[in-house]
Amino acid sequence: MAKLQTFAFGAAVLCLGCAGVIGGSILRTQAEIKQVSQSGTIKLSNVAGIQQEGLELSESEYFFQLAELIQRNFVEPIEIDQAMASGAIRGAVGSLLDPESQFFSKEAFASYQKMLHGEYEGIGVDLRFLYDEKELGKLREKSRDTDTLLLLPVIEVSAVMPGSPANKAGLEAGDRILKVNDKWIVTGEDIRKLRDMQTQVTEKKLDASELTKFRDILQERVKSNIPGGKVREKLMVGSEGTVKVTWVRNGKEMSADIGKAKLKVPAMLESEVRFFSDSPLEAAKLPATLDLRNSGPGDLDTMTRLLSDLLPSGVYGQIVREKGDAKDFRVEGKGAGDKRFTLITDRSTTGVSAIFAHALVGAGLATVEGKLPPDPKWIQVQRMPDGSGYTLNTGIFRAKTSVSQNNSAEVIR
Amino acid sequence: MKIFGRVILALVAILLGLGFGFFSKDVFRGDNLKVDRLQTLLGGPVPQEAPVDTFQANFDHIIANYERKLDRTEMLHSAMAGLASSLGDPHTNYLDPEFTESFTMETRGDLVGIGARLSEDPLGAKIVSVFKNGPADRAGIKANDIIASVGSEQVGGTPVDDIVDKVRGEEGTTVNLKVVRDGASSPLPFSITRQRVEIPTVESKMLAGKIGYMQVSGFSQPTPYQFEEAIREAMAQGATGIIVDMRGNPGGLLEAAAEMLSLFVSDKPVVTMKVRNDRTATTNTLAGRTIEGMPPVVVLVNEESASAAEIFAGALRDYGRAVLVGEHTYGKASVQDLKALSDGASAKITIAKYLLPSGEDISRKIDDDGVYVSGGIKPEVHVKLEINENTVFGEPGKDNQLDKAIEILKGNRTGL
Repeated sequence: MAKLQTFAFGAAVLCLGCAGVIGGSILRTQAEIKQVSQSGTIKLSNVAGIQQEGLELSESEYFFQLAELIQRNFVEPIEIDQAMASGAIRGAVGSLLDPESQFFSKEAFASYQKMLHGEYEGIGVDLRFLYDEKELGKLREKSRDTDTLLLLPVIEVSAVMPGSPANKAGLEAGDRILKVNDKWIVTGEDIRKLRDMQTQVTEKKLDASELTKFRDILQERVKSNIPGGKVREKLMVGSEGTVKVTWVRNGKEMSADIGKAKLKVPAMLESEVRFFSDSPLEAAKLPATLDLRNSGPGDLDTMTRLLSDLLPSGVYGQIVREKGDAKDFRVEGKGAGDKRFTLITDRSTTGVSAIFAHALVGAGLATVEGKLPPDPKWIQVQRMPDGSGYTLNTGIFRAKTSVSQNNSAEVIR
Repeated sequence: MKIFGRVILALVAILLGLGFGFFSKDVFRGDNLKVDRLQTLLGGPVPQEAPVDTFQANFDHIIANYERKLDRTEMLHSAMAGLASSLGDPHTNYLDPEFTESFTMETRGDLVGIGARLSEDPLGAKIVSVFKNGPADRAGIKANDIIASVGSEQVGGTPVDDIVDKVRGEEGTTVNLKVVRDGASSPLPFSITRQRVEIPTVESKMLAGKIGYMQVSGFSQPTPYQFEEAIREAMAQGATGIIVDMRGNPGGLLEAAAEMLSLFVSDKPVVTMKVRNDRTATTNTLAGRTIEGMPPVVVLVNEESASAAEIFAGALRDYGRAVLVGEHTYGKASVQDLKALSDGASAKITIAKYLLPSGEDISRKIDDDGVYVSGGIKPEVHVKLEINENTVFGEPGKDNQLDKAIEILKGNRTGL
């Protein structure tokens, strides 16, 4: 009898122990979820392989499921960390296939943010990536005959900082970069030329030897090519060493060894204006002529604040989205709206400066000397916790009275 | 007193159980106990912002504010691809449900269809080759035929992938094709029952001088069987040498490579895999499967030979059973496993790194710009492929790497 009791007790203890093991592992899973998600978006029933059939997972639950799976199996020990979150957002941003929506690595984003404060690294340029719009459209529609090689961008200088090494070396806005450190930027245009030549040869409009010649040249370039993302890094990140840049302007090829440096560009230099977040411009001190050339990257809030000093309250435009909706651009202004300006603009007036120019002209406060840039895009900047970040194209800015030179008849109410 | 003792004992059992349950994950993995997890549970410090929340917040931000309307599911798939690539390992990937399906079909080595390879053609889809004994073969369809209509639909000008989708379908159903053939006055009608067909991964032929040539395009489940058949057939025809062409072979199942090597060496290591925490596992060839009297072998490799193809070539070289000819291989010294996710998607995860039987590590090294620096297997006889208008892979006289292999076998360097 006593033996039986001892046995029963032993079994009970064993059961308790087992219950403890199960409880312990559940607690562990809860601790892990707590570490990766404090908002409680993950439900215990959806992780650890016990999710139900047909259950719709939220994005965060799906994220956790994949991250955990990799963590459990990967050859090296890893943590579910911010780098994973950044990686996922990099993937999401990349899928937009939008040159204005770009993900930046930690280093690149740091230099990008410095740029928004007027501190330039590298040779002192801003770059513009131009994609073949037709091919981009095909890719977005998931057309199967998309030729992704045609989507290799052409890289152009969009702005040159005055006094920068690039400026001294003679680079100008609009110049096309051909080579960096003697490595070629192979572009979609090159590929299209090759394709066109192939067609011409089959139609017997071109001698095959011409095609062979160009193909060989292109093959050499592909062998020592530099990808677009790297170009940004080589020219716009770091302040040490030199970089050899080869560019073309009106068919003429030029080349120079350009030193990298740190460069502080003031928000206001004589009549030249830039919108840096740490040096707000005072409306009262603005001269009647504003030079907005070579002015692009800047802080939307700084620009909006300046507008609010100049204009009375009101709606001064819209951010129009292809989704079909539009958001009013409202300025809570305290200005009188009586100051008039002459703006000097051209192709190198981009980003925040272009929005400023459009808004001011649309409000009837400015006239333009030179060519007003096309409708600018409203680009938001987002920082990730690990220091990386991205830009997001949220729509096109259309001023109250459309001032765009290509569709000047259109008035937006 | 007795009861008190028992309560203590029961408590201890629960606590031990809890402790073991909590840390069992680490114990099974062979990692250090992660005490910070316990602290988190007891209300200790947690990271400022949790990764999952960061992700969801930014994901929602993009959906809400981007200028175009976005498909949540599609963007989630792209995001997951980004998550997987954040590890910095090019071979750990997320495969969305659609891709998972075609990937598993590839490694399984079969599909439901008519058993033919198609290529783009202005009139429709051109038959590149028909699989031996497949439905198309048995119905009398021939290479170079052009499919002009599927069912009642004309397919001229349709992308070839879309035509493939139309031709494929449920097993046992019938597809009606109209086929344009040289010399036929009007399109020929065919009615073919779709069946499960094996994708051939080994294509062989006998070259002049009784040299058996077999091109292995991948390593799927039926590959070892197809490979053994090809070797036995070549030997039955009196082959004096065998060329195994692994150029452009991206690899596949490791087990398939091991099984194929079993024809050459019995119960010998194929690779040594290093899994987490430096634990190792060795895969051996099967015992008692070797083919007696195998003629000398040359294996052709190039930079597109990867994974199982490199293991196959490297092991044969290490055991002195083949001469390697061509250019250095890719250098993919790791093993991946496919793990399923709840929605039909999957993750291909690097679970181990491997060393060849000789202990050689062939992992690929690249520079900042992604240009090859070193790694891969370097063939004893290095021959660069000459590319010109006349180059045809696998055609003697039009493929200088193949010509070199033939020359070696004809010169019959002994000792192989």
